[in-house]
Amino acid sequence: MLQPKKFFRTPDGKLGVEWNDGSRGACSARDLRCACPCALCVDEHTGIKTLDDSSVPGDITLLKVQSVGRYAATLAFSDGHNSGIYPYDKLRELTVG
Amino acid sequence: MILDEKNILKALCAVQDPDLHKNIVELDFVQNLKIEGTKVSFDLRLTTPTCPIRDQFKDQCIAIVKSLGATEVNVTFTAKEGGSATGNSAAKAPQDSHIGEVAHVVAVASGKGGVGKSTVTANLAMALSLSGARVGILDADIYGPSMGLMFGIDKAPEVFEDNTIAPVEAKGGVSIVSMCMFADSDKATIWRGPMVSQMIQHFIHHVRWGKLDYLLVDFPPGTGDIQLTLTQNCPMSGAVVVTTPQEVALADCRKGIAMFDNVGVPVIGVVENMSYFICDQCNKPHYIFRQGGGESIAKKWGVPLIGKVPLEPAVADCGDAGTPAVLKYPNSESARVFMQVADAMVRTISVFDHENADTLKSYNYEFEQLPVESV
Repeated sequence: MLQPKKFFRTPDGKLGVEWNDGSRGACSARDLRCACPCALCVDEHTGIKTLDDSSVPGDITLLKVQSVGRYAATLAFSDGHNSGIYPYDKLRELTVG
Repeated sequence: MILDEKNILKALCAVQDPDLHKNIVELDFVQNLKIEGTKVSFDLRLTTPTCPIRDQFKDQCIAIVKSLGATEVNVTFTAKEGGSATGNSAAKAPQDSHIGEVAHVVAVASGKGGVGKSTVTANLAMALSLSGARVGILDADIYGPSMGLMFGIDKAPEVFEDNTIAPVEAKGGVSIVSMCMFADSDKATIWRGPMVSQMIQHFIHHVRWGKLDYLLVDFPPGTGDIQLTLTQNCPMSGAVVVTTPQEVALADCRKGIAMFDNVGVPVIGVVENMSYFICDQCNKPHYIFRQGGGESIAKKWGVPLIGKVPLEPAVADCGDAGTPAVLKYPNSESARVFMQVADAMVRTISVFDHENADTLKSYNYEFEQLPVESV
């Protein structure tokens, strides 16, 4: 099962993750915010993204990273948004690709 | 051969843990080794205090050290403490959550209702407790709690000023919290999802379990709101999925397994309840439902079948009478199977712990405090 081994910051302020499959990668706060899967950012029924990327500040930063059970992390951003739950497979895709 | 630390440790390498496939020295089980002349003493720090093969370890260790020339060998068991540093603290948990003192939270679930989850939970808890573990049960079935009846509990838990709850200590030293302790047994709890979620979170974070080795969570049937709240709020060590042999139950059981896969909780195994009926006249097993259901699901989903619990009238009465069968009829076939399930659970969780030793289980980081590294 995909699990994180370590979280870190890159020198340019990205969120870095080391996974238990041996991979390592990072993703910027802005890209993470734009990929938020919560019901405020993605229509629950159609799955179509409702968040307008241009409304996300360019200098947005991450404030908190917290576990949700054993399968996901929730992220709190400097724009006050904190309702996204990022399952590990999604987070791995964002950080490692 | 000289009786020194090096030689003793080298010799003890011969003792293998059959589950972790490593020897006890490599696993750092041997601690506090003391040698005084020909008297040797040490601790065996096991992954769990209820390790089913601990006596086997002890006998092997004593024989080996004696063969090196020791006249007296003392082996003491200790267990890794759960909680604090690596234990549970829930996602979005309040700072004052008490779940952190619990070493392992284990879900007992099924997709379908009526397959005997609560019976399995009660007996599994009793079996674990009898083998020396500190055990609690969180009855998460808000709409249809049954732990009160199964353990014959008639008292309400103590509620403290800070709104925390002390669990009720039931038969066999099992700590229990259940909705039945808060609601009139003849009245229905008619609540919408958010109310239930709040109650569940309250049960998870604000019950003073104290130090427990295992907290079994009796899940309500289904894969909905309550199940999601539970799996999001406490990092579960694993899940035991209960089914009956019929296809109608197996179909839902598959959904239960799939749910745990989705939320990253490893499935410890499947328990097939009501596997067959043991007649009190002829003692012959009768396969009332179908045969082989548990095996087929275990094979298809790659999860082990860890027990087939028979239907026994005397044992079935135990649930209604308020004493789990494992305690009342320890020599019954059912009790034997429940002990076997407990064994399998304890061993599998040790393996999971070992495999996941270096992954993050629960965390709450301030981004600014994360270490700076390049990719």
